[in-house]
Parts: sequence; C-alpha cells; structure tokens
Amino acid sequence: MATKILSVELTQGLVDFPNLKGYNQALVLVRSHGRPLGRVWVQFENETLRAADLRSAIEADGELSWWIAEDLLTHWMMPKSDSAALPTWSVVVCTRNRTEDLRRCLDALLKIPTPGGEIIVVDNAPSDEKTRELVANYPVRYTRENRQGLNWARTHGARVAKGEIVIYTDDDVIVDEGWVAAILEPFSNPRVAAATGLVLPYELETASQEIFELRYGGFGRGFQRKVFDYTMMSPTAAGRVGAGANMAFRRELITKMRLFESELDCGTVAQTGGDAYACYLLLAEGYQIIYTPDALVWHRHRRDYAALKRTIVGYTVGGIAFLTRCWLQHGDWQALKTAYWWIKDDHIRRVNDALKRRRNHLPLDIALAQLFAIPTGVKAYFITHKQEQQKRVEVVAPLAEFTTPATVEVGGSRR
Amino acid sequence: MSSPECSVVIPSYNRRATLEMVLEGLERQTIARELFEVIVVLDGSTDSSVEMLKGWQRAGRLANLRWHKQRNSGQATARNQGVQLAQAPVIIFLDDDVVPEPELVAVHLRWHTRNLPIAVLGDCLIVREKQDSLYHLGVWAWWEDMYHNRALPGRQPGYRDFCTGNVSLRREDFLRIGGFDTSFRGYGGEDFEIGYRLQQAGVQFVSDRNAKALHYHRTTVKGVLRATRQEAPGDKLIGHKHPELRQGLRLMNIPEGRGSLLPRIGFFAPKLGDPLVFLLKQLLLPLERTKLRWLWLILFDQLRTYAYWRGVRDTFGSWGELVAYQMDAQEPPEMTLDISEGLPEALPLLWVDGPSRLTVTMRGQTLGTLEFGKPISVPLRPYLTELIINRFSIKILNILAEHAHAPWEKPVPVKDFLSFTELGLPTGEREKVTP
Repeated sequence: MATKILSVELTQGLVDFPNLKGYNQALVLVRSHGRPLGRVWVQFENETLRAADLRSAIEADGELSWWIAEDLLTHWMMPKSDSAALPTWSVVVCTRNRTEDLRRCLDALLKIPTPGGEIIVVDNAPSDEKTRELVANYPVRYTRENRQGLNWARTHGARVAKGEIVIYTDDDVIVDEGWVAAILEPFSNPRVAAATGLVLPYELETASQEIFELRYGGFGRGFQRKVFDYTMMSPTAAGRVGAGANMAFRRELITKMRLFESELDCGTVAQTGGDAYACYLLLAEGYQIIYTPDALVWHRHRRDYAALKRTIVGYTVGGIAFLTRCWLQHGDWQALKTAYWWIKDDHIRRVNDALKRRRNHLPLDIALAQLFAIPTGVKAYFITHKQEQQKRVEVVAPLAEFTTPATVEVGGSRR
Repeated sequence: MSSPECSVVIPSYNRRATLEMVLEGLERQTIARELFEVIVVLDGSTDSSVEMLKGWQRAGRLANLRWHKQRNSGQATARNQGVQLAQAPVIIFLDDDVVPEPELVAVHLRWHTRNLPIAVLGDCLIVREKQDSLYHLGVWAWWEDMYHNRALPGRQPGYRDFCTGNVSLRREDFLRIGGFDTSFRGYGGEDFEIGYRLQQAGVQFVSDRNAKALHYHRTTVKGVLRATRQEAPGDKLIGHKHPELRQGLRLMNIPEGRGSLLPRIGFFAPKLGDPLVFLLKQLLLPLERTKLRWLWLILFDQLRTYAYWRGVRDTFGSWGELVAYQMDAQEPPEMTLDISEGLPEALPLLWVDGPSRLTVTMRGQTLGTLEFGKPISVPLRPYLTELIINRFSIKILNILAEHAHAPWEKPVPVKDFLSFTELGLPTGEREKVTP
C-alpha cells in the first residue's frame, strides 16, 4: 500500500491527521523551529493518524529524540540572532518538455519569502512552445538553451543569472519555503563555494518510488549538517556531497572554473555525474562544500519501474564516467580507491543482498543492471572524451559560425 | 595642516617590491591622505628600499611619509621604533607584504572614533594563484577559516588571534604595556605575547572583515618547515614570562600514540631523524603529482611536527631540562559559568583565555564540570553550546521543567519534550566529547 508523506512542526504541537484515504502508513518529517530533525514511519488504521501514535513513534526513535532535545536547548541557550545580510540569489530551474511538473515547481518557488532574488527557467532544447507559454503566466525569467544537455542548461542559467549565488533545482521538485534562506546561509564563509540540501520524497505512491527511496537510499544525506573539503575526504568522493536537485554555487566560480562540463550529465552518454564533477573541481581547489538539511526540497521520484531502472543505471554510468575522468584527465589516483569502494559497497554488495534476499534489498534485475553498467560508464567516458577532442578542433577551426560568446567557450581541455 | 588621525607603521626587511605595493595601496585609500601618516622602519634592509622611499618622498605621493633605518634587530624592535616616531593617537600595523584594500584605513579609524581601549584585527587574505600547489591550498584554506571563525558573531577573539600583519590599536595602550617584547628572536611568538598582555590590560579585541588587505608573500614547504623549527624558543619565552599560559603551550606535551614516532625521533635522536626526514620530504612531490592528497596531508603534518620537536630539542638541549620546564607549570584558573539566563549573558565572562576547567551552574544548582585538559583558547559559542547540551541536557531540561517558564513551554508542555529526551538518550557515548 502507498505511504503518505506528512510533516509536523513540534513547536505547534502534535495533532491528528484525519481522512488519509487509501493509506495505512505514513512517513512523517519531524521539524522544530522550522529545522528538519528526522523522520519516522507510523502505521495507522481507519484512515486517521492519531497524535498519540505519532508521539510514541517519535519517542521510540532515540536518535531523533536526542536531536529534538538538542534543538530545544540550543534555542533556549542561544536564541537565534538576526543573521548577517544574505547574498543575492538566482534560482535556476532547468526543464525540458515537462510542463506539468514545472507548474507545481514554480507554484512552490513563488512562495519563497527571501528577498534579493530571481527565478530563471532554462528551457533546454524543447520540442514545442508549451514551456514558454506556461512560464509567461509567472513572474519569472524565461530563457532558452538550444543545445541539449543538462550541463549546457546549467551553464546557460548561470550566465544569465544576476545573483551572486546560483541555486539549481529540477522541475520535478517542490521546494520548502525556507529553502533559499537555508541554502544561502553557509555562503557567509568565503571558503564555501557550494552548498547542498536535503531531498525528501514528495510522494511514495508506487512500488518504484518506494524502492528508490527505501532500498536504493533515495537522495538521503541525513539530518545532520556536513562539511566537505579535501582535508577530510577525497575530492573524488564528490558524489557524496549532495544531489543536483538541490545545490547552490557561487556564480563567478561556475563560469571562471567552467564547473559544468558540457560532456556530462543528462542528455549525454554519461547520463549523470555533472554535479559530482563540478563538486570535484571545487574540492580539488580547496573550496568547502556544506550540506545543510535545513535547505529542504521534495522530489517526485519516478513512478514507473522502467524509468526507475534507467535512473539507477544512469547514476552508475555517470558515476563511473566521472571517476574515470578524474583518473585519466586529472591524474587523480584516488579515483581508483573511490571506485573500488563504490563498486564493492554499492554494486557487488547489492547483488549479493538481492541474491540472499536480505532486508530492503533491491530487485535482482536492477542490482544486476547496475553492476553491468560499470563498463558502460568507462565506455561513456571515452565517448565523451572523444567528442570533446573533436569540439576542441572545431573551436580552433574557422570561427565564423561561433559568433556568440557562449559557443566560443565550448569544449577545450580543462587541464 | 591638521595633524594626522592615525599612523601606519610598516617594518620592512629587504622587500622593496612588495613594500612599494603596500605604499601604492595606501595611496589608494578612500580617506584623505592628510588624515594618516606612514612610517616605514627599515630593519637593516640592504636592497634599494631606501632609494624607492626617497623617490616617493620627492614625488610627494603620500602626504605624510617618513622612514627610519635601523640596524637589523628584528620586527619587534622595528615596530616599537615605529610607534616611538608616530604622532597620531591610533596606530595601524601593516607588514611589508600586506597590501591594504582602499577602505582599510577608514574602517580601522571608524572603530577608534570613540577612543575606547580596543584593538581591531583585520584580514590579510592570501592571494590565490591559478595552479596552486597542495601546500598553498592548505595555507589559503587555513587562513580563510581562521579569519572566518575569528569574526563569527558571538565569538570573542583571543590573544592567539592577534596577528600583527593588519591590526590597529591606540598608541597609549601600546605604550602603557611597554610595546613588543624585543627578546623574541625566533620565529613568531611576539605577536601572541603582546596580544596576551593587551588583553590582560583590558584591551578588547574586535575582528572586522571589512578591514581587508591582501597578503602577497608566498611561503614554501621548505621555508615553513624551517620556520616551524624556530617556533620553540618563542613558546618557551611565553611560558617563561606568563607561567599561567604554560599549560596551553605545544611543547608541554610530547606527542603520544599514533604518529608520535617521528616527532619523538626529532627530540631524542635528531642525528637519525634529519636524514630520515630529508628522504621523507622527497615523497611529497610524487604524492602531490598522483593526487594522493590524504597521504600528502599526513606526511606534511608529520614533517611539521618533526620540525617543531626538532626545534624544541634545539631550545632545551635535554629531556631533563624540558621535563623540569613542564613540571614548573601553573594550574590554569578554574571558572564558573552560570547559564540561568542562557549563554549570551554568560559568555562574555569567558573572553579572556585561560580556564581549563569550567563548572557550569544553573539556578543555584551545579550541573557539572567540563574538563578541557588544557586552557580553552577558542571560546567559540556554538562549540560550547554543543558541549554543554551534550553533557547536561537532562539536568537542564529538568530544571527548566521545575521552573516551567521556558520560552517553548507552549503549546507543547515541557514535560512532553522531557519524555522525548529521557527515552533512549544515548548517554554513554555522549560523555566522551573532547574539545
């Protein structure tokens, strides 16, 4: 049966949730003073989640109880002072032929109260005018990038953005009201080049969505703030810092360091990995990346099984392509170590779990597809690398057709 | 002509090129050039700095530029000399490779308009280069973190935050405490030491990130290892002058356990250690080339620790001498922190570094004692908050419940929250929080 997604704010007290038709369990996000502290699973009957049941579920979770107490005491001991002025921001939503999702996404974005920002929709190589027509009804900026590929769209978004911080999200995401303020907060430290946030499931209606969230692990990075920099982790483990659906970067670095390699991520053979590569470049340059669970978005996972499988396989292909790139193009031997652990822990172990039918195992076909995607990832690197070499030749060749500055900066070796 | 409001004092030794950049930076200031004077003290420079300064004086590019040449006798003496020559009530110290941004003098002066006993700490930001080596990345990151943390809201900079590259204070405060101690001959130490004396004399430190300057000096691995080896004499002297600080010095505890072998060799068997370290140093480059950053970081840290303890050996000569020095340490004072009204009211009491033991009380009850092992040098608010919560949460919640006027009492009653806490609180592990 499907799982209802709910959210409670402790400072407003716990109340009953009636009329949950068609559900018998709920995943409840527990917040206090607006901060997400953890989540609990609750079973219920008669279409009503009673406050008492919810309470005992929260109390039964020792770790969550601890974080609640910690939050309360922190607020008592250290009432939050007015924080320093936030930098200006631009939210960039990259989309392609998904107006239904985009509508929901924009509706939520418009509720953000944080001043000093703008919302930009980057329409990536659309097949029709529907996105443009939809966006015309909203007070947001519309821009089009005709070269297909998520990283093209991201770079384009950063070029037209006016804010100091560019915050990326996807069109299948619903953002929380405090999202922007929370993701901007880490940037008060000049050494922080990027920030990522918490991604929770918007709905768990189908088996595929539950598989992704519970068995694959979703985009979960936990409810604790994390600091990433090269002194505590290898930059090649950049895949851990967060998800592309909820990431913010300093704008000047995106263009100066060419963070979003056009040969990676959606729309290329590598399929994913563009965000990890951007984070790798930043970490390798000594910058910090902060994961803050206070910056919360809800992501609508793929509903059907085939799309789920494609997504999971895509993560492996992109991840391996990214690691191969770190190794061969940057001479980063730590990529091999990262790859070893990733394959061992997240690929071989998963096949093993599926075969032994361990708790929360992935379906065997997905686990196997994921394992067999590893060589595809290596191949994807060589294909994209070759394309890049060709593009470099093109750029050196007559410049007549490359009139816009955007095109001239294409390709080129990063070394 | 009105007399200048502040004097910029720059000690310099053989750095004509960067010194000229500093002067150019001063030329670009947003406030009128008549409002400040510039005093360069050449500490035995043998390059063409003098000719350069003569040129500037002839061209009149800075309204009040003076310079003084002395025999090479160290930065401390040079700075003291500069202050002797200064005429304005406020002194800004800059290093000869610290190029001020245009607002620097104005920002410093704004803090001193009310003529309070304060010292204003400004940033000396490392200038990044395109292909920074792992070492330079680390230097940059370290300073960035240091400036950021120093200026966090609620953070009171301590004497260890006192760096002389970009700092301003009242001339009278400087003279009152007798200026820099000129007996510091090694590398560093004199800045912390004067910072400590200033704090003892009631001078408050403030950190302002708008008082910005760019630091152009680029050290090298070799240079920093050499400098680290010369740190011990300064530490010894600080501990000698201020026995209450001795407990917090690095040389009080020779490393133990993991990673202690190399520093111990540095102290006990330098003849064996020096060639060994020379070989190890050769590994840094291949590790950097293959991007094995974590190994590089471990090795570099080891080399630095070795260099420090090698320097301790140079300073103390024998184990007996070091132990005698260590035994002679004074127990740092104990302090009591009353958190009845939350931390913001209690924290300013902690602004002078020192206590290694902190007793926390609330509404007349003693919650317990925090043992730090050595003096708290970084009274960082979030850190202390976390520590107190980790250790005393149940007790605090109980006290709050008894008094029942906690701000979050409604609409969820205190007792409800209490039950959240009491259930399954992982107490055992949380006791072991170390600073």
